[in-house]
Amino acid sequence: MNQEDKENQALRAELEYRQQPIGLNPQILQNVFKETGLKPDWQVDVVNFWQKLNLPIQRFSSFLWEWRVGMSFATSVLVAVVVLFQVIPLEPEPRVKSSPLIPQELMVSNPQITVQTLKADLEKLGIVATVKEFNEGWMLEITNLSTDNPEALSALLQDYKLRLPPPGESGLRVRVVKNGN
Amino acid sequence: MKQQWDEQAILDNIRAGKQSGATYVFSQYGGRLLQFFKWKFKLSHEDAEEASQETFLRFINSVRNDKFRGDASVFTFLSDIGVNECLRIIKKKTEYEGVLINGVPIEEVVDYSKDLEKELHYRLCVAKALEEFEEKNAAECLTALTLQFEGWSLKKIAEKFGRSNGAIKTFLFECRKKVKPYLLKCWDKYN
Repeated sequence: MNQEDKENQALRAELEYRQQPIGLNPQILQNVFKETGLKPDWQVDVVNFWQKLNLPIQRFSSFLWEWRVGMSFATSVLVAVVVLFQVIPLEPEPRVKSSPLIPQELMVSNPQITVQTLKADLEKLGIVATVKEFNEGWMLEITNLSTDNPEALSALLQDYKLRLPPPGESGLRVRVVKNGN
Repeated sequence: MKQQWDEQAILDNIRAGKQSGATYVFSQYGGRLLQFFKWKFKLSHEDAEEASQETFLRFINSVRNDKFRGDASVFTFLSDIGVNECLRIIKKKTEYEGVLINGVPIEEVVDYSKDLEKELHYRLCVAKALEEFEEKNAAECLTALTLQFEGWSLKKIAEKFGRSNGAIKTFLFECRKKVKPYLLKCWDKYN
């Protein structure tokens, strides 16, 4: 078959087809869609839309879940700590009673006699002093230095080369130690 | 708004699991494939429909399974599948044993299938060429040629067009001359 014959054949076949176009049975397409699972465009679009919409909701719900878990854990820890403090009483920290006053130091040859003399002299002025012995000497403590005769007190302290306490302080501490310590 | 289809849009639509791309392919090529199956393979209408259904089924599955990536045109791919489906149906039917397809025994027609595909492409090219020709205000030409192919006499054609015999003969000659370049493009492409 030469070119002209083939052209004529194709032209004739096409012109015949155009006269009576063959329509495929639409059921074929339905069968194909059923077999392949293709869905109408709008259905696929609706499904995609819901999936897209659902994604942020899922993320938010997941976030809420994580947040709730986190909050529950934190609350549990807090409650546990509170309960622990309620159940186990805290041991009071032993407080060392110490006078805030810095003791003045008095160096003498016989600390015991000196501290007793000083204590007696103070008592004469109506001032109560306590005396305690410690490793290296004696500690004289006065909680209240108030007296009717402040000049005599001042003179007494001067005799022992001691100073009056700073303003606002009413006590006095004196550490009496032996010379050479 | 009517969707404008190109090959990529068709493939994307099918891959997305939608129907409209496949419907477009079906409407564009389905009828011509069926006609070709009937005419070339001498298939009955039912067999040609079965071949068409299997062709579209395999086409869509191939696209969705990424076996067809658009290396060839959609029509080329459809033609390949279609020709093979027709041959499968012919082989399946024992009553067709020994039949000749274009003078080639059915046993050897598998090797001949590439020519069949080429012919199918040529036919589609001619169809598109005639559409293009028709758009150039040549619809009357095609009607006259159709009547001539249907075996109408010159006298009857001349009466239909209200022209003299001589005028219609010249008109038909001019029509063939005008349509020739359109057909030649297809011949050069597929032969």
